Amino acid sequence: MKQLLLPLALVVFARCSPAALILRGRTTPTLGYSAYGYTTLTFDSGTDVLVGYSETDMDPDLVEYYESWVIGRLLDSNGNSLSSGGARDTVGAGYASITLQYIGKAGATYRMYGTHNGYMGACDCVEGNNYYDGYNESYWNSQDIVDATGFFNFYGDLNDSPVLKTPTITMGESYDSATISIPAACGDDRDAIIKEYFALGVTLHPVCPSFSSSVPPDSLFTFSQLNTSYYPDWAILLNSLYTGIRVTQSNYGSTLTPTSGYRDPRKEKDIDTQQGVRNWTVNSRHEYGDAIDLGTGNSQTKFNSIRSAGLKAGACAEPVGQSGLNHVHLDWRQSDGVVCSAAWLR
Amino acid sequence: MRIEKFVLAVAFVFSVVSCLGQPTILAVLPSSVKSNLNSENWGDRANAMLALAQEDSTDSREALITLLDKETEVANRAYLRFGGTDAVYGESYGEYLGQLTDLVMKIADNPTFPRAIHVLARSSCEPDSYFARWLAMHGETILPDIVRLSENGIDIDRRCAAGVLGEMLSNDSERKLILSQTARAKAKMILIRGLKDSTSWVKDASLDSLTKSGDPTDIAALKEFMLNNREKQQEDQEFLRKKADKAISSIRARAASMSISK
Repeated sequence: MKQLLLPLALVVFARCSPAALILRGRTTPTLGYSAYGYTTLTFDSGTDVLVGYSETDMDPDLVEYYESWVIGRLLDSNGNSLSSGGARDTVGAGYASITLQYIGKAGATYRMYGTHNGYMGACDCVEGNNYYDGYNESYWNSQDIVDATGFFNFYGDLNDSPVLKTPTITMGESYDSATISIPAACGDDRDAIIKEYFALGVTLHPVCPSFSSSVPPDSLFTFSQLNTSYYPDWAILLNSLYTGIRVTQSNYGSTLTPTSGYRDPRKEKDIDTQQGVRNWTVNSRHEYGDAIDLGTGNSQTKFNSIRSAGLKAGACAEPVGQSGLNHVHLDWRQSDGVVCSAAWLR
Repeated sequence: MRIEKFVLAVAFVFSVVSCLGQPTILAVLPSSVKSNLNSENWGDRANAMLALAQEDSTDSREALITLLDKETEVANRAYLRFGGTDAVYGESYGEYLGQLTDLVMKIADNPTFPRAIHVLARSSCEPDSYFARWLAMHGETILPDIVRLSENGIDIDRRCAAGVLGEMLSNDSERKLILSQTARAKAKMILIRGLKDSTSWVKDASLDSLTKSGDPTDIAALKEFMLNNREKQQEDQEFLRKKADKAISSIRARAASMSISK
């Protein structure tokens, strides 16, 4: 969150990143009050929808005399307007917000601009049909107010256009923006898999080259043995997995049988949902491409031996109280710089 | 009259002091965390763990210790009914339990929380894990908890106990920690008893422990094991027989090197 405190009365800040904040307009010291504005832009990879949001807020003191006003513009990388709109707080809520949506395209960059203003609500609160500019905002901007007299008040008849051409008072107008670049499309099932990582909140955000469609010649297992996802043609399979499997089998001294390898996030979620997982973001190493489950044939001695062989190969190994006897789960997250629990570690 | 007032005053002070001594976890933690801690859904409890891990207070640490104690019961029930937590709570539960164990291990390093090490010792472990070795370094402090594990009806707890005791005896012989004569004898007795366990992996873990910590007095029991142990699978029987043979060789080699060094 970036905050910019003016030495004057107006405070505007942007809380989206990256957001450029440009302040314009003349200001005059008045009272200790604040107006705020911020703009965000998010992309839902599940639906391809870009959601731009901009909001202007005012302190309660200001709400009596000014209405929050916001203008939002969603632009492409060439500055072309894709969508725009504005909103004003006409009910004294203290804020105004605008939400813009657009279907984003892979490989493109988008920017959302927010312009934050105050709008002086004209009121007939002093005898003689006067406008009442409670905080004297008319002094610190260049509106077409011809005759703003008095420190707190300026006078004029509603029908007397020379006195006040517009009731709009731009309160040190500010802009901020947020930018999103959508990764280029792979043009195959990988696009759908990548979307799953975003949509299901997995920490890993893979790109097209993260996936492979075959295994190296020295792999002990075939591609289809290692890819147990919903997508038969693509999988994330890290080198640490191939090496780890080779060393584990060498330590074990006999052929290993894989029962599960790479899983895309939807597959992982389906497995966990069947088992009643709720309210918890699944971050299984099977989604990262460095995990494998090896069959034990429900043999206790085999379980111990395979697990021990995996640990000696630098794997993190799930305790049997969790995995159950029918398989040993091994992963090489430590090659990815991720520490495993003491209970999983040799 | 004065005596009555005095008695009342003493009673009042006593009640205040008593209240101060009570656990204040439920009074201090935010209500959302409290309700998550008591949720039937482990995802909520995991979120409570994350919230508590951010807090640097006595109450949050006590709550984490209590949570691990609760999860040990949950995991034990799942193991006995379904053969493991993955089958009923998904693979992520194991990750959560691992994180919780790590957090409580850090708490146990602080002597202000003596309960932590006992709760950890009562949770299950893999006999060859870092966690088992870490537990073993606590020696006689946790011996009663490990003895209890070795006697309960959950085979993986007995397997864990065999691993921890083997490590403890090994540390003792290498002077990394000092066990009393009684503790040493108790640990040894449990390992020898493990050779007659109803499951092959408790026998397996006991053999591993005797390989690294046994002495010549254990050889007779190992020989008897080689002769009489029977497994359902011939493959397992042969595997364990070879391990017993290896244990005897290791013990002899260790005894020989010790006599040379003397």
